[in-house]
Amino acid sequence: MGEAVHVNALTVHYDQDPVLKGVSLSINEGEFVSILGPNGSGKTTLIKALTGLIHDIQGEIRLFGKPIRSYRRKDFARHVSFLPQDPPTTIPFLVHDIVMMGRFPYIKRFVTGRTEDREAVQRAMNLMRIDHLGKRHLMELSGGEVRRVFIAQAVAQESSVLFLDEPTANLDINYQVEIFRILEKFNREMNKTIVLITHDINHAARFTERVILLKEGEIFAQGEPVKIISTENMKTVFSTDVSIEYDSNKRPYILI
Amino acid sequence: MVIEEKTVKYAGVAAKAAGFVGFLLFCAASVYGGTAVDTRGHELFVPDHDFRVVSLSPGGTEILFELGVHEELVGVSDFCNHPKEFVSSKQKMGGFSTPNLERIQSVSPHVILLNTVVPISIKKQFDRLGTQIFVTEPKSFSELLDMIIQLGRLFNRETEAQALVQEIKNEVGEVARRVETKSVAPVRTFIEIWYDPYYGAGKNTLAGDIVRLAGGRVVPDSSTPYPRINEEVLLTLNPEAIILGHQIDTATFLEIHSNVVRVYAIRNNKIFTPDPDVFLRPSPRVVHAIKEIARFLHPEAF
Amino acid sequence: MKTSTRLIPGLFLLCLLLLFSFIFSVSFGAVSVEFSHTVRILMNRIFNTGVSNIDAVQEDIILKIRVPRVFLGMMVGASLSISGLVFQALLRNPLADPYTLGVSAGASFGAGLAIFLSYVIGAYMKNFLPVFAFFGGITTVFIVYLLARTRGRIQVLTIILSGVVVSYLFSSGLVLIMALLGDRSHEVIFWLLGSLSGYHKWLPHAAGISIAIICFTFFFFQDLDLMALGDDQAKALGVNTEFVRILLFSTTSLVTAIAVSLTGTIGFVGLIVPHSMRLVFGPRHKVLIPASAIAGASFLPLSDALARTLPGLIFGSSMEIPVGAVTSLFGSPFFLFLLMRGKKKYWF
Repeated sequence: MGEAVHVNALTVHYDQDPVLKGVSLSINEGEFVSILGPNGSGKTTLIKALTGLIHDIQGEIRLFGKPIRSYRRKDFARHVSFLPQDPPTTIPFLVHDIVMMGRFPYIKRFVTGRTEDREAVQRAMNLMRIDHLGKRHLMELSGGEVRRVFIAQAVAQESSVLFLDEPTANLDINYQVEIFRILEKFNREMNKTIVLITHDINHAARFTERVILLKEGEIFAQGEPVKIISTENMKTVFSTDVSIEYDSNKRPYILI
Repeated sequence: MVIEEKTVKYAGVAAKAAGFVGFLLFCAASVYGGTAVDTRGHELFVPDHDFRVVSLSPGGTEILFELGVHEELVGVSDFCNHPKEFVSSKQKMGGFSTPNLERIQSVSPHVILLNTVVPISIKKQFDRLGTQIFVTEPKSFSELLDMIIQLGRLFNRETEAQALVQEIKNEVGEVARRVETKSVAPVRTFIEIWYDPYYGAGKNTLAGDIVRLAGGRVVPDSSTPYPRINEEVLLTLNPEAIILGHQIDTATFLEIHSNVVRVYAIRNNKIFTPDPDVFLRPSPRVVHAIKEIARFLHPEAF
Repeated sequence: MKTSTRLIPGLFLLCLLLLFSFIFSVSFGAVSVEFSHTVRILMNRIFNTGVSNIDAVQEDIILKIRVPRVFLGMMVGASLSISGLVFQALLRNPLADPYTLGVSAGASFGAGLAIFLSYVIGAYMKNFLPVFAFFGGITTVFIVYLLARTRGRIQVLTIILSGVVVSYLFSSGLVLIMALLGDRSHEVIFWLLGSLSGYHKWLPHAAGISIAIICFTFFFFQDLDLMALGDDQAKALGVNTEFVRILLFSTTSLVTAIAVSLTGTIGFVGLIVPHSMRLVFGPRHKVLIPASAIAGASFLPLSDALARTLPGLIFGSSMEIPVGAVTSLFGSPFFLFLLMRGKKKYWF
């Protein structure tokens, strides 16, 4: 299994304040990774840098061995998809159109309407179980349904790496579980590399195989959930006392 | 003896009364002045002597010169240019809609001559200064003559005014006679005041009346003083002659009128630009304009 | 699919509307020409039948005066509509119109300058007025772009604010020119009110460039769709947002500057037409671009025809209302209608 993402001494500043200070990490193909940390620790900045959305950076980021700068945009989009924190909900497009937007990296400028694109969209919508919503307006859907639509868009993109910024924020518990289960399926059955930011430590512990814990722009610790999610770490990084239990699979969960 | 005493008494009273009345008359005589009506119909009054007038109307300036109002004219507009020596000695008071109010106030005129109605803001300023406005905008030849009479009445130059008017009438009468006897019919004429959009002068303007006297018939036949027409109307009117109220060179004229070259006047190059200083100005030199235009419209009569 | 079942008949109807607009606008004017004559003149010209019993004056009226005017209206209507559409997509702002980046302020200033110089120098500048207006418009956009660049990128909000500031700057310049002109500033006012009349010897060239640019814009319909997702997501999906913005801003500003330099500033078209088309056809630019172009090309000549004939019908006057007044007359109640219709299918 090759290395999907390689980061070396990544430093990002907003004006004069450093947001990320010399972050180095490596993500292998097929890994399911979560990034945790308090607000302001640089999680979103890290993901945006990895998806090529921030230009003023120091350090190196490689995707499949090549610097991300060397990829052309559409080419990069075929490998990497990104689901931002608050996807836009007030745009007037139909669900089907939005999922079809995920095919943009594959559609040439002067050619449209190819069967393979339509099929990819159909597959994605089936997978996310939103095919019955195809002709609805995005604005009519609930929060969970909207997220599923944008995940479907990322699926239609047929990328091997998925970056997601808080995909379950503000969702009902059933949607939260469902989305993590779907991501788990992508990871296990389709060998997709998944990197997500979440505030939900228990979900991260339960579903992901590696946790990267950020504090003040640096990697505080990373590794298996059982090792990283400890009372000392929670105290140091989040300044809070928690008690931790372990389930039958030795995965930790936090009791408040 | 009693009758003699009474007579003496009455005679004394009568003499005093006569003296008093004579004294009153003497006072009144020094505030005698002229009353006149301007082209709007507004009445003005100016004392006979020691009056001051500012003329922001080039036509008015020329008329004042002819009437012998010389020292009393204390200011002219930037555009007053005739007669040259007369005007060059006078202080310049600004343009038509941009008069220099401070300068005007510094000479405190009794009357200001203006060639058109001013914006209300400026009129209010003049009212506050106690200055009267005489608008020189005659809408016909006869109104122009009447205006000269009124100016004569206003500035105590009635005889001069009558003489000037008679002179003008004679000269114009001669031209009209020639045109009538020696030529065929009035020429359908369009007076182009401006282009893009096209503005013409109608029959109810001085320019229109000048053309009539010169043997032309103004088209379009509109009661509006300056009717606005477009190219379609111009094509349909098909005037036989065009008189230009603005300066333009031939090449440019043809370019602007390229859509309407079919018009008779343009096809046959019957286009004339009279001297704007005499054509568009209500002055005694209107005679020149009439002559010029008559020669252009009816060359066969001269 | 809902939109595609409306699509074909919808576009077909639009084309019919265009044809109707052409015929209607050519048939009406200050001088009344019988409809049968109009048709005969047009047929004669198109098919070169060499019919002889045509009144020369009427022929001139139709072919030399009205047809060019209607063509100009179509070209400008299409240009303004497409520009409005593109600006709304690129700035993600439903109130954006072709003049948001300051083109109209710059072009007006250029026109005012040309008129001013023609008085000062005494030469006839009318031919060069469109050139001045054009460069005025382009310069303004350039300045706005330079101002809005922060760290080599363009932010949407910054560019809108720059547009406002630069517009004010050039408008003040125009007011100064008008004050200097004094009595003669009526020419500038006429120009500002917008009009399709006048002699336009550059119309064929301008039309060619504009049509080329409109067609060029069509090929970016997907990029425009994706811009609605926001810059970050559009980029993540592979849209080169910087490049697309600069490119399309440049081309639409060019097209707008051309339009404004020929007709003055005609407002509301760039706002009403794209929004109306969105209401009818939905948000996909693959449809919106051709629809807006055709609708704009129909709308403006019709407005102009009304501007020419309404005063005659209502007041018996041969005056023409400026076409910008008619489009505004349509525009204001339209906005009210938009507001009241609610946000359901709409993008606010």
